[in-house]
Amino acid sequence: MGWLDWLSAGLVSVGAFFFLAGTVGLLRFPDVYTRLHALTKADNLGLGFVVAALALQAPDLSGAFKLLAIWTLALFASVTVAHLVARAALREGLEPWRRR
Amino acid sequence: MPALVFDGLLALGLVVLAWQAVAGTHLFRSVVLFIAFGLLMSIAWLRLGAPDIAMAEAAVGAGLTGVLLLNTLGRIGPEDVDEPDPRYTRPLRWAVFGGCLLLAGLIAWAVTARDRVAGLAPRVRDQLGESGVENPVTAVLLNFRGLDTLVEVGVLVLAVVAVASLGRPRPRPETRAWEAPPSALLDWFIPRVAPVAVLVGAYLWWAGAKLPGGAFQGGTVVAAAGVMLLLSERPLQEALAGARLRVLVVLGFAGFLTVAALSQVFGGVLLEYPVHWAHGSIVAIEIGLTLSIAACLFVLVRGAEGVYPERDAAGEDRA
Repeated sequence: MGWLDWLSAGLVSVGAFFFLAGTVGLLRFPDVYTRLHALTKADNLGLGFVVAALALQAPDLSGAFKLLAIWTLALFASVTVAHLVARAALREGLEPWRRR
Repeated sequence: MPALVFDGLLALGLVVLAWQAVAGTHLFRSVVLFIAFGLLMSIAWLRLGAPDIAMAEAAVGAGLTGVLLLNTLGRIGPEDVDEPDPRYTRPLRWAVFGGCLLLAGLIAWAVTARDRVAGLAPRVRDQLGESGVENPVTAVLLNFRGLDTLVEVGVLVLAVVAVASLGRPRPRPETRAWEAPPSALLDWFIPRVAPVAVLVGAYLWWAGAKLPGGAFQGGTVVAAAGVMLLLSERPLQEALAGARLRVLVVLGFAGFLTVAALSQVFGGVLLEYPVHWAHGSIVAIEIGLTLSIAACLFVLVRGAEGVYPERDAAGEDRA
């Protein structure tokens, strides 16, 4: 494996770590709103690292740009969905968690 | 060796997700697990070397079916859920489980028989030059076994007719499915992403001739754009209604049927395209199919609302 492959492997590992962190947050955080933080921030950062790793392996520049476009669209979608879920939870009357 | 570990974990994940999806009593949990199952299934298709099916599974199986199920969940209440009699369901469940084990055994035997039996791939490869396209999956779907696809699209149109004839659901006080107040973020998101979805769908249709893709995958992505529009303003929703919508629903099937009739009249054999017309016929059929599949899936998600606006206005059809 060349140095590019090692760099990709490293970036994918960092991305996997962020996905793991996001999942741990999803399981351990106390209410909907904090879990949304974990899902949108950690998971999208993880996706960014995975996309960066794959972009290094892309056959040409247009392939790398397509991967970047996928990450951007995923960002847009998760931002909007997180907002909608939080808004729906607020309208249902779910109170944000407070430290006792 | 790493591939074997990955495939083993994937298979285990599929079985666990499928079991959990049907075993729980909490319907929302079951639906979410079903969507996750669809995504893992899509990866499994990739591992089996079938990118077209993987795309279709992700788009239709996980994406659109997930939306349909969540939509239904929002419309049913506890009085709509039947509790089946355990005396029937227990032996029935064991029978289904036994049948599934038998089927799995047959599939495993067939997969391992691949070394002894050549299968149809060499024959498809030999005829691919005359089929008009370079993607063997598209060639099989729209040329060699075009009759199957024709009937399949007919079944989809029938499903839409059934849904449209059911009438609109009775209004429930708890249903807030599409009536949420406007959101500034949605107003920013939808005009930017829905056109991208239409573009991606059109690309998937166009690329299906040479690369993995095709009408079904492209049509589903365009349907997703339509479903996004359902979250937006009323006037946009009213544009996707009435005679325009009904024509789009029928367009693919009608076009396919026309090409089939022409091939019968002029060539003597049903759905045998003349070789120099093959590419053009397939492209023409696929345009109609993409638009039609998008319209059909859109109606399946939205329901009977808007298919016959005159009837909706008269209010005569509440289920």
